Amino acid sequence: MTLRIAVPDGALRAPSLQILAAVGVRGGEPGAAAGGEPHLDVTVAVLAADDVPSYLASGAADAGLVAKDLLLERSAGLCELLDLRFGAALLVHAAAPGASERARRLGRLRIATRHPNLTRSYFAARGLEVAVVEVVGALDRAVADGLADGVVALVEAAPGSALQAGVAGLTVEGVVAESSVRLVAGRGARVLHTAELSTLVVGLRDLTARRGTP
Amino acid sequence: MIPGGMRDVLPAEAAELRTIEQIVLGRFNAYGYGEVRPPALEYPEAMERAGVELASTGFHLYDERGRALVLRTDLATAVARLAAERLSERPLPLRLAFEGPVYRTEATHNRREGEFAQLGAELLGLGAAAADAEVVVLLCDALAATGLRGFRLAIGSVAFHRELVAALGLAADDSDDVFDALADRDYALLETIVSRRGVSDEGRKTLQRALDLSPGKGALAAARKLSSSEGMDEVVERLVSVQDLADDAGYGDLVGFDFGLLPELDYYTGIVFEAWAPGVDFPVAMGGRYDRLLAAFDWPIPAAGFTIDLDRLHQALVDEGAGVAPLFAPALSYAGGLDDPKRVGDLRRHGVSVAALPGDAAPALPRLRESDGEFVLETLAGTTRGSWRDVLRALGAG
Repeated sequence: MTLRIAVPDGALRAPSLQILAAVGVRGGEPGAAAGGEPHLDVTVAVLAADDVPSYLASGAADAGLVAKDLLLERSAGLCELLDLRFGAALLVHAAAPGASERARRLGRLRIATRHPNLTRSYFAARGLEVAVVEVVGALDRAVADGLADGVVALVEAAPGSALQAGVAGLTVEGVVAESSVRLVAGRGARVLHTAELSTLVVGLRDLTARRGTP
Repeated sequence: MIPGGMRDVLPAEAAELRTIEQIVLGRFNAYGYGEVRPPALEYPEAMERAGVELASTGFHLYDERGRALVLRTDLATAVARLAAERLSERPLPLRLAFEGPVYRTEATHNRREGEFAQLGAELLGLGAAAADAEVVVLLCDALAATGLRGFRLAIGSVAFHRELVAALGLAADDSDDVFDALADRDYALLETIVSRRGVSDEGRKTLQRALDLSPGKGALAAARKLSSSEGMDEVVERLVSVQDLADDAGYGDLVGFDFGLLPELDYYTGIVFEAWAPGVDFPVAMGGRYDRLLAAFDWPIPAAGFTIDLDRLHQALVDEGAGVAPLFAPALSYAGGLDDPKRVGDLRRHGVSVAALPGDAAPALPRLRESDGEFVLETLAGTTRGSWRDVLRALGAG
């Protein structure tokens, strides 16, 4: 049976297709012939990154590449097979100057984010009340314009590097989650495509072990 | 308006669901499983004794004296309660079948339905591998009988995991973390835990290989090689005999072994299995051995069984393009009904469904009318003209 692999569009697209190509899985580029080798029958579809977990959960795709922060945010009951160790990022809480004083007096923080679930559980675990503002546009602007007192945002981070990258004008207060791209399968796919997934996992594990941590 | 998570089922869907229920219950009956019907309401403490988590999953209500009640969230547990309270004097083994809706608040298990139908079977009082095999074979038989072709059954073993984790030599807390990661199927986390908690390279490789095992008999042979204790040997031998018995029943090709399979519910003690079909978001069926469940109701006997998710099974059949023949043919609209109550009675006695009021002269087929002294029967298959006897014959009622 053909294994349908979902690849996120955007920044993760090129490295995702690259790592798949390195284990002989082709496709996903316009005009490129789909296929795999040596013994893998696959198709590759490039989807909006946020859609990949839904495809996997519903069985519309069998395997996919998903950033860990998105997996945590969705908690879609998927099967995480392998840390592919690229696309490393940190989901951080960054606050505007004066945010803590405002929070002390008003009893709650306003946080702009694209990760509402992770944000709520992060602050709940610290006993802090937050009003989550879901934002699609620029997060730093949300703070500059007074929409929120801080953000929970992804920042690129090679493991071990300092956290200065951060979000413009804001101070990093803490790390909500560490992220990198994972090979993920739907629960049903693990049963219906066990052999194909095993081949893929073994190939990718050897590859990531050889490459080491970037 | 209906409450969130609830749904109305309309005739086209209901007719197919009824057919599937009949087929499945028919297979249960063929294996000697007798139907029981526990009530919709149970006492929450009874369900919680069996480890069912109700605080966030159940719909709670109160009786007239203020005693807490809960709408059943799972039929297998309710049937175990019923068996322990009502059937414990009967000779063992007991074979029980059940069918009906269960109710869960929307927050649970990532599924949106607040009400859904379960069909299932439980074999009580037998702990042998042959009993594991019987429920596995019964499930395959029931699913195949509905016309489902593309399903696969993944079998794992909680006992295998227990032995495997014991062999890793982890502290109790760490073992729990490993089990949680296995249950969440977060193998990346599993690798992290195992690499941080001082597990030997050999142990890590063993775990890795166990999770990588491909399906089928090869997996069992490999599992046997991985085995490092008598306990693990026993578990593997047991799975081998389940495979052999499934082979004998002709379902060997549908069954695979997945040692990554570990259900969220911790009442399972031996084999666990999930049936999946292409394109569904939840297992079509799941089950296993739960030797401690009946003990929660003061009747310590072994038990194994499964539940089928009726809606998922139906969805899988539709996605496969499988037809589900209705138990009942569509009603015949008979324009001459009022003039001719005897003829209507004649048809109904022969099992033909007839709608025979004046407003029933609907454009839908099948349709029967009288014209120039002869009867005209129009069906999807074509038109028949002739005598009343011809009509009956054409309807298969002659």
